[in-house]
Amino acid sequence: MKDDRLPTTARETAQSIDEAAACWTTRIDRGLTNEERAELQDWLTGDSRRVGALARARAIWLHADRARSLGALATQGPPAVPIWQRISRRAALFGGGALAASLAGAVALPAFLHRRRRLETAMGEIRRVPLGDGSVVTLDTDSLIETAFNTEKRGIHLLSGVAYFEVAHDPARPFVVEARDVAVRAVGTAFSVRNVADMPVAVVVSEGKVAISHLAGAGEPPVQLGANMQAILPLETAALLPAGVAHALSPADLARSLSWRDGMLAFEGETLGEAAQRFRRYGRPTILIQGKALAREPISGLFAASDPRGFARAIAVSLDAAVEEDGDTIRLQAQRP
Amino acid sequence: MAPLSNDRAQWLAACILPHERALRDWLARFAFLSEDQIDDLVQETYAVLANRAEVASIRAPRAYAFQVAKSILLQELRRSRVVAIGSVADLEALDLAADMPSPEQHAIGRDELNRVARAIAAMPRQTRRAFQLRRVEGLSQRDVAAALGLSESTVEKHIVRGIKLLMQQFGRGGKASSDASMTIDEGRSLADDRARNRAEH
Repeated sequence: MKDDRLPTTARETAQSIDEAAACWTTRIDRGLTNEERAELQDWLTGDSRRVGALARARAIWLHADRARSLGALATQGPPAVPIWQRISRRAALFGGGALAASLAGAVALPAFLHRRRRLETAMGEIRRVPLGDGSVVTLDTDSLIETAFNTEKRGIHLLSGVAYFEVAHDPARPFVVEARDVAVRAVGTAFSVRNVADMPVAVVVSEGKVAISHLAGAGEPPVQLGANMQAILPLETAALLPAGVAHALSPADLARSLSWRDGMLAFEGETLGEAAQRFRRYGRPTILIQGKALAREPISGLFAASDPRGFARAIAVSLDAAVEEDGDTIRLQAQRP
Repeated sequence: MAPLSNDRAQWLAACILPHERALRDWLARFAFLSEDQIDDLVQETYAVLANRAEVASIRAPRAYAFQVAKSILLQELRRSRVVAIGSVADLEALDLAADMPSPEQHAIGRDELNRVARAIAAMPRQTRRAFQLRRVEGLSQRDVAAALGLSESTVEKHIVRGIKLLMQQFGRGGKASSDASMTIDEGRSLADDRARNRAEH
């Protein structure tokens, strides 16, 4: 070290300070004894870098729980292949090819080919699952789908929640997602469908093209939706009006509307009330906004879906609101003057 | 006390940590700085940020952190007469604005989250379990000990190790291991690298 041009003689290395900081962070986390508290004070006053190292270690420690929003990736290591998926892969082997098609008339297909399979995510969980035909579904928090694949059709029923589909090209077997009273039909494409209570069904296409039609509306021409487009379908069942339901999305809007796949919630001008509602779908604590004016404040930013607390704190700072936590509820309200 | 408060640590985690890599890269452009000195500067920078009475008024945390690091470096350079005057002048002339990120901050958030997840996934098995149960599942250290059938002091050791591995991920070890797994053994070879670096200086 003697050649170093900055004065570092007889200095403790940054690395050994970091080691001590990691130990202190762990001890602070489990609770310090009185003796340790005094010891910590002594340690901190010994070198100005120690305060920085400890602050940094604690930031890293707190930061690690953001990995929670990555769900299975962070908590379970490589995801195990669920049994239904192994079955469906075999089903695809039997059911996908021309051979199977030619046999279909003559031989009864194995029963599991027609069985509905359920796939669901718990609150806060985001999961990406192959569907056996080369297609992959990403399920947002608290979502439920049923798959029904056969030789003519790849059927998915989105019972609740949000799902993003990356569809393997197979013109012989269209991929059809049903949500409430609509069907979204694709050949090879990538798109998401939302079916959340009290909100209109929404479809976002990131690649390729889909056709949306009413389940009941035979003869009605379907709405064609291309890449970078979104359709918001009316809550009340009515005739589909292509002019009203389909809009183009900018690349940024598209990225934002699919950001949930990374465990992130993105807002750009949504009201605080809407944002709080979206957080509610990912679990506790629940954010309550007090005061209509505050609930109407537009907000922007990218937040970890699993961290409503962090979101509330960030919002409180930027909107100058007060945060109050009470059990499973976080209240945000305007500061009294 | 601000340096130890949770709020301050949260702020550092949200506003500074994501830019630490960029700060280190920027400092590394000064050829006269060794890796050890960059580590020192980073710690000093965090110390200044931790000791500030408040941070709410900092509108651009990244730019502020760069500014703090720069002024600490200048101070150090002026104090140690050995440094060629040229390097101080170069440094002062440096336009910090050139190091500001593009408005696309989103990508940083995602990369960084993935980096943390990868670092956790690459921890030795028992360390990872203890770390996840505490930090990801939210069990107390005592409950983690009970869940894993370990003593509390062993759990504490695993958690210390987990924090150290994440520190490497954010610090100088980050680059080497960002694309692959990081193990304790790599940690050791990193220390060897450091020793080698020192020998070369």
